[in-house]
Amino acid sequence: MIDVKNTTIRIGKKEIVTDADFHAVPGEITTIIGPNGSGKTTLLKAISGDLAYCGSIRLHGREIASLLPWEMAEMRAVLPQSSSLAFPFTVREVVRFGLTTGRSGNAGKLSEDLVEMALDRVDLAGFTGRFYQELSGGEQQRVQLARVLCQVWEPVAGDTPRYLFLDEPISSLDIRHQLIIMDIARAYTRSGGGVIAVLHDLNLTSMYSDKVLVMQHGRCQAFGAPQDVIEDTLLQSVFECGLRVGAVPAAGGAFVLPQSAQPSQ
Amino acid sequence: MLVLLLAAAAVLSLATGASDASVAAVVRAWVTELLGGHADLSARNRIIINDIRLPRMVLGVLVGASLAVSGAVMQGLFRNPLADPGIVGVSAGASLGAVSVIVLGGTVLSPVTAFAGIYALPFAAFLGGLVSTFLLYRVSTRQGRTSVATMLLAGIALGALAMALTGILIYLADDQQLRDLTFWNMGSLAGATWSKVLAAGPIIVVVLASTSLLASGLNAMTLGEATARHMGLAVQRFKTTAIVVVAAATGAAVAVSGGIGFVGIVVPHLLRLLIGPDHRYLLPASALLGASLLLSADAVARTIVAPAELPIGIITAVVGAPFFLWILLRRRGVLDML
Repeated sequence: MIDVKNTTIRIGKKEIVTDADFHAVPGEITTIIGPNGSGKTTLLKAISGDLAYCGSIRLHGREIASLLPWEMAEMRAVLPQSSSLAFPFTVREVVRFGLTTGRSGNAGKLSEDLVEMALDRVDLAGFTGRFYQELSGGEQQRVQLARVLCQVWEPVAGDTPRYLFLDEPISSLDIRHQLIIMDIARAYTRSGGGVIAVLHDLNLTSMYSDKVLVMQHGRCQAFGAPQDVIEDTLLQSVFECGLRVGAVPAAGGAFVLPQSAQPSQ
Repeated sequence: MLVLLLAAAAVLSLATGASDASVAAVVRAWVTELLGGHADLSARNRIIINDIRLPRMVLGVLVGASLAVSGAVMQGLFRNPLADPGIVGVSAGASLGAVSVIVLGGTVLSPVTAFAGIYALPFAAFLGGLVSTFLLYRVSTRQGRTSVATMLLAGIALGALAMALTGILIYLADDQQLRDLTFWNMGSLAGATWSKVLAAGPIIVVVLASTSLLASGLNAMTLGEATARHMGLAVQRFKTTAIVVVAAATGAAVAVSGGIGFVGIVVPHLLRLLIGPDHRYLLPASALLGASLLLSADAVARTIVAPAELPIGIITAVVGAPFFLWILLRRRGVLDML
């Protein structure tokens, strides 16, 4: 499990995250929500091993500052908010990076098959030969997710559960693909892995999360099950906006909720 | 196919020159002597082939390969196809190191030259290249992102500084040293000897062999430093290794041939169009094509105004500079976004 205790993160002299406290257990989707600039991404970066921190961040009992890059790579994969690619690689090559650099421990599966399977899972079957840079933003994001999935394909390696860290994984996707990606995350946790995701969509957060961490001004304001956390007073104070949970809009305007989507096919 | 190309270029390199010494005759002579017979080869032609053209050919292969590979590694490290040791001042830094040894080797640096012998020159060039590459990376990369504009500007500034310091040294040089220095300004394989091959060869061979270890790391780096680390790459150590490799390759090449430009930018770019950007194939292919290209350019350099010869740097610049402009034109839109 991932255990964050009294963690403070500074970038330069500025304190971005103050005294963060939460944990993410395998088998659950832990979602981080909060307004822009509240420190969500910074916290996720620190957990990914990108930033120095004070306090303690433990991954399966080991302080992550003491873990080597390849040790971390075996236990978790990270989907960044945005990715740039320097040279014209094909989709297949980008996804295969997930296999070549991490020691992915996906024994028994041919890497080429895994690339195809991962692309199929993110609904990009048949895209292998395309150039990454020619794809739309949403498609690129899903290629990156396929790469991330390849790195930690088996949610449990040996007896060690593995994690997906997803920073706004659905920010540039249409609603169908948002549901597909969140279903992937849910399936990953059902098979024993863990997921930490930064999300902006409160409906999807409430639909898919097992635990929600609410951040504001770099501090953790609440941590708990979605039905406990997603309520009027907390949301109004954190997002500084007159939100009302479960309130049906006045007659006239159409509204579409992901919760009401019928299972397709 | 690239191997065949290199073989053809090698034969061309042996066969062309101001003298009419024939390769076929020499190869026949080698074979006869190998079989224990007595070859009928004029002493003059034997010297021309064995001691002038052959070391020149070997040096051309080594230098061409190391220029192209250091370009490819540097472009991978900076995640930018415009990075090239010649353009961003690394070659200038290496030249400064080499010129320091030539000018100060008899005085201030005499303990160094006495200790290092023929390796003093390549080693000093390596140090010069190392310092430049390291400074360049420190200045232009912040939080894992390299700014192209900063990189090019910093490279220009570093190059100008190194050239100014080189200028001061040249000002201090005596007549004999000036003669030695002249070829740095142009870049040339003329004056290739077996001892130059011995001085630079081992460094270049080690560097070329070690780049195979960098390939998958360079691939990971194309997604950015953070993602490379997430995928298990020890980024800091990798960058240090890559910088040392670039500096060693550039330093060794500059030490024996001066500043030959544009091979490092033209060759990898051409190959990315032909075989794709995967560094596992790009690096060895760059070595082969770089060697072939330099041998061909050298063959042109020594025949086009025979019996005199042009500095090879002029040939590579005449071909390379328009090519570089063409890359800039094609990527203009992309550059503006970075």
